Amino acid sequence: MATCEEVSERVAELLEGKLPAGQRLALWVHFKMCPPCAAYYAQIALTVKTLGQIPPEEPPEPLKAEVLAAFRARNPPRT
Amino acid sequence: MLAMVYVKDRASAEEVVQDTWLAVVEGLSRFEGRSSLKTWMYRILTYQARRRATRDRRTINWSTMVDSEAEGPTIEPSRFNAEGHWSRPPTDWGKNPEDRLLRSDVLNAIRDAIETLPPVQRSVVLLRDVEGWSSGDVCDTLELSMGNQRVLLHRGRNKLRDLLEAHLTQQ
Repeated sequence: MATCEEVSERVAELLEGKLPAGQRLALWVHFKMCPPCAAYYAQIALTVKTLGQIPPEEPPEPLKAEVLAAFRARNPPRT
Repeated sequence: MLAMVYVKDRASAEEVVQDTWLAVVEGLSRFEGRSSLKTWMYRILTYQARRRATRDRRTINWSTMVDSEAEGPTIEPSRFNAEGHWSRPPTDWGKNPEDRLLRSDVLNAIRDAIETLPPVQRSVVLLRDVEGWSSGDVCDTLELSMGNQRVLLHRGRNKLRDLLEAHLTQQ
């Protein structure tokens, strides 16, 4: 059976959903018998979910203004 | 944030972003649709950022960085015993950790923590988990193999997990 150290390294592969069914099953069996590994997996999954909630970074106003000014200089608005 | 990987400071990164937008507008009519518009734009960004880094004599060897960041184990070996089982297992995050994590102070702390990750891990975590890119697009843009991408993503996530753990256990 795989050690916890090996299992912890495979968490990313499991989350990618690309593991063959047999290997996926082996990991789930390990989690059933090993609460710390199950907790580690759940915590990494929750970390990923939390990262997805970070609001997008707005560009600073001066940068936005400069880029827009440069666009307009190249493409003057049609009248 | 991605531009910061290559250049020395925020001001240079902003210039790179500005040059990128201009190059995108100039080149849009020549865009052939062989990649997604998003990857094409990010390729222009990495090109501009690398050009700027060379100009500032701040050349970095990308593949050396990738190799060094992917080396060694993800979790501190001292957390496991000789048989490879946890000697210091992850701490219990209690009931409904989600409610405590999705607060703006925690999200800001994670955003700051992403900045402290090694450059390639930072780029992979940003694009995959914050921006929601596919692994294929990330590998194409950052010139990574699937295997390296996965290892670096896992390392970055693991460090951020440690930070969330510290937050949750402090409360």
